Amino acid sequence: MLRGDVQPTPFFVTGDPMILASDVLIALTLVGIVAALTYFKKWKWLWREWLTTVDHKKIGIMYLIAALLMMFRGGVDAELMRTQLALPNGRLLQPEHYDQIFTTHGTVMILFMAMPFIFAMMNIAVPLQIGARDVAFPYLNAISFWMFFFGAMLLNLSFVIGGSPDAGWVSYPPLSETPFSPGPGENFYLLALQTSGIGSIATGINFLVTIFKMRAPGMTLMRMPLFVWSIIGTSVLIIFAFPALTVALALILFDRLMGAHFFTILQGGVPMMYINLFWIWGHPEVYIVILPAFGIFSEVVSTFSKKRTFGYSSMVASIMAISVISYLVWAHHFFTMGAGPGVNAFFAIASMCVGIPTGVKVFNWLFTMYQGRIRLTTAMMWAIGFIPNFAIGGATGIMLAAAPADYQYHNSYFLIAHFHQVLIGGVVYGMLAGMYYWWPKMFGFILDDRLGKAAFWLFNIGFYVCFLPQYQLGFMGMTRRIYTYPAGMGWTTLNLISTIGAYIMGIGFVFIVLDVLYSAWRGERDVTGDPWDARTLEWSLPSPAPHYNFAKIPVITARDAWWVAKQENHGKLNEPDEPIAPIHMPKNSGVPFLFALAFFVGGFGLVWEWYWLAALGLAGVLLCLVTRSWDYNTDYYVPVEEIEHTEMALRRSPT
Amino acid sequence: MSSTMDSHGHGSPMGGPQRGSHEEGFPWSHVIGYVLSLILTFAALVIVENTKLSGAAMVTYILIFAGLQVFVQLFFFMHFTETVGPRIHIVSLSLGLFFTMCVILGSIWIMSFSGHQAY
Ligand code: HEM
Ligand SMILES: [Cu+2]
Repeated sequence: MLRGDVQPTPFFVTGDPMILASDVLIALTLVGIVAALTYFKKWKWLWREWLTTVDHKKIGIMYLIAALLMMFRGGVDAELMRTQLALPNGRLLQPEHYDQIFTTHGTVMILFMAMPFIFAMMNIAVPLQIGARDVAFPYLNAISFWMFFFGAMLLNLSFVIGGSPDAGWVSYPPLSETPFSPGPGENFYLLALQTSGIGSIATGINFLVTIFKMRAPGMTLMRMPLFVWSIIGTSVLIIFAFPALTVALALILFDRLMGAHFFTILQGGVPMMYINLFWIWGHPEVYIVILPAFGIFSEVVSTFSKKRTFGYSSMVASIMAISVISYLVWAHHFFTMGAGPGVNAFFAIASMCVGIPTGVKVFNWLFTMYQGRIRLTTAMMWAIGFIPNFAIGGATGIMLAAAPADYQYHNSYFLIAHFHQVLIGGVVYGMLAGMYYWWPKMFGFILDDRLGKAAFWLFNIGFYVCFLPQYQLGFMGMTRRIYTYPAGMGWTTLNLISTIGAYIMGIGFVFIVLDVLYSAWRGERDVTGDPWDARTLEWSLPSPAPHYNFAKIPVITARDAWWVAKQENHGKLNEPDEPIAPIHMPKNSGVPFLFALAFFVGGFGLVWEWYWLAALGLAGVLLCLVTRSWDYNTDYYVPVEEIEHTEMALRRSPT
Repeated sequence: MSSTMDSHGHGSPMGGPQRGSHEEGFPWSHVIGYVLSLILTFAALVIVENTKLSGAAMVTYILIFAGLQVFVQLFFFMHFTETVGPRIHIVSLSLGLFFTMCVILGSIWIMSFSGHQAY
């Protein structure tokens, strides 16, 4: 928003009592954490076991914790916005504050909740599912995590230091340029996304190489679990889409910090080019987060229907088709920009085409369940709940993709309802299904089913109560990003219902947290390693798996290898007939953490345009690069005795 | 491709130092590639800043520089000439080429606003 008088921005955000209260809370939490770590003498443990780890399973767990925390933060933002809109002329939030909240909500939910959640799932499952001992580049994997983490911290910091960005999660110029968004808020957004974006690109490369190069012998591409296939699709999209975001954000940064004019019309810049670049990344991004959810549904549906997935090859073909087509539809996010009827027609038709492979997948899941022996566990509930959700989300997507009609829907609450339907009903349901499914593999205990189902029903019902009225509100003319509305528009009842739905979803989230806490305390322990009687390799290992995963790499002869082993070979995988050999593993390293910390420091310097601090951060980055380049002591062999001892302790005889 | 990572025995998850078959010594090719990239990038800047070409000519020059830059990347940094596992290389290269073409041609098409009036 245009602030006429430019004053120096205060370092700490003050004035708003709610922010002040959160300041105090954050400070108290930090003090509490530091005190607890010191009191229980856990600093060393934290450093050795977590901050320096390169183990994909632990990195996955850290992603998961971060994603859940960010879901909480984004969720609180959402509840604040819904409370503000519950009734006309709401007074809870000031207009600027509302703008900051919807901006952070969107940014946090997509980049710091959905992204780490998919990274959590792929880190936990992919190496185990393909019979590998880690990812291809474990050290790079640690770098990815810490880049994400410090990027997320940078954005979250803006809330108490300097002020939050408020130009929307898409951050279009000219609004996001200095004259309209002075102060550090927008810089926080740009640098936070750049930092975590580096991590995301590295993850895409890492997993693509892992899947192509690290599969167990006999695990041909067409024998891989469908989740692994979905990660191929996601990785390809990450590699090709994220650079566009990097460029778009860098250009705005040049404009803001160095007086360039890429997007200022008066100096010959073209703001529409930002919109174009942003969505070259933005549309593939929504498929980057939905494809892993599709993969999880395939695993969960087939496990809990006790059947192999129906139409495996058509599933593979659909994933690949989606990855390619979803790269060709980006202009549907700006039909109203006026690029011309030819452009709009092309992108409208391409958008509708994405619906076809998606439909194929939905039918395959249904046919997998058909005549299966279905067990309604919590994970399965999330998977089944997804289907009607996605049917509605897909249908409204096609409505939006009809370019002339989109002139009515664009930027209305109809659009809001559409993308929440696919992002919550698709991505969040998928990730929660995956979390309930793989939780025992991660932590060695099963999440309680009764609490889990209560959470599911609350969340699912709350979801429809919250978002179905928003389609109607869109038709009635309510636009997105308004902080209040007058009485007498006829919007009041529907808004009130929507807010009630949001509260019910909030209670659902609380139940998930309760479920985790309760189950950690009393939950059923997973002593077999295969609590769901499942089909893929990860369930052949004890829960949690030893740090080297497989003492011997199995030889794969069929799809659903673990299921086949249980059916035909008394639950023994084909293992080479040799004695256990020493296992070559990567060493832990503190450099990734420090490397990302240096980026954080440098980014913080750029946010405030304190160039000495930025230079200091950059020096730190270079130092870390040099240190690593001359470090030849990066790996070791796990001795046979240790492997045998571990395997014995995990009740598996090391034959 | 029934791949394993058994380049040195026990299925190591590491691309550790002993794996690289690379020549020791100063990485000249990287330095040359880097300098060439810089030159090509600045050439595009000079075209825009210091010449009075028409829009179409300018875009043509920039596209030529960009095309050359692609080859610099492929040959100097991306081990284009070291062919192992050609099939996957060809698939990923053509996919990359396809996506790149879509983005460039699509962007030019969109940003030329050839509809003229606001639809
Ligand atoms: C059949 C498939 C789909 C079609 C045809 C479709 C179509 C569209 C269209 C045309 C828009 C732009 C509407 C406007 O701005 O006026 C849109 C917005 C959006 N869609 Fe979809 N969509 C589909 C699936 C998905 C999926 C799977 C996701 C995410 C997982 C998703 C997430 C979004 C988001 C986040 C936006 C709004 C972005 C913003 O403006 O902030 N969509 N969709
Ligand atoms: Cu889209």
